[in-house]
Amino acid sequence: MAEATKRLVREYETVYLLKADTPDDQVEEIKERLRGVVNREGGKVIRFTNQGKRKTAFPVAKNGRALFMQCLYVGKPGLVAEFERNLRMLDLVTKFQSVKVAEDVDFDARQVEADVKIQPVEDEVKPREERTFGERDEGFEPETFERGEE
Amino acid sequence: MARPDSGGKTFGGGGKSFGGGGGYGGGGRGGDREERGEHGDRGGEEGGRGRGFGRRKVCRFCADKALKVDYKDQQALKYFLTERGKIIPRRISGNCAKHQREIATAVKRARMVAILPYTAGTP
Repeated sequence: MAEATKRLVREYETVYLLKADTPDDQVEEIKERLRGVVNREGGKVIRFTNQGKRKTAFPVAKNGRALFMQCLYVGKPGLVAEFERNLRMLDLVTKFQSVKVAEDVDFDARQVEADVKIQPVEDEVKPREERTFGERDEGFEPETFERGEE
Repeated sequence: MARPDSGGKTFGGGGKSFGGGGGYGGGGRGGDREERGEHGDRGGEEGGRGRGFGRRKVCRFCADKALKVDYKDQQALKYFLTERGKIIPRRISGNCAKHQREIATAVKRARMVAILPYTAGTP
């Protein structure tokens, strides 16, 4: 049977936030450590994405900026718990979140990709005109949309 | 039938009688535009049971199959948020039910990793 030969795993994605003042070598160190964890648990890392230092929507660890890292990997469900346990042990990691991206991925067919580093995009405030339904969303109150039944 | 207030009742009674109401309005009080004006800005341009007026909004994600909901894409998700960081309801954004659910999940995920605010500013 075809299924017997294929090794089906799940693909997960974990976003983790590092403190903004983390030096680059520490970032690499954490990356390698997590890669080791994934390999030890019988998974494999597809890629790490360094999304750069960005402004957070609210202060994280008393800091308004953070280094966003994203890790894409395949493996068995127990891997996520181990991965997160390791993140929790690292003091530089301030926040993390794991999401299942895909199910029943063929382990051998999934190619490993090179690590990516994205330059941080400074979020400039876009003019309001770009929003088609923006004219009503400020001061939004539920009553606004009720129709009088008179 | 000629009395304005009785006519108003039939108009307000439901969309079914809309055509008749329009005919009435033309004779009696100068059209349904004014009738609608009575409701003030509560109805808005496409609010209420307005069928036929306003622009029929199409779900962006259904219109463009290549577009995917991604919780990491702050700029794309901002489109579905108010200034305060609330999720814009489906009746305003025009999303279909499926994609609105995906948007809601994506916004909530983005909030957890501090990409989007739980609440922003005080007006």
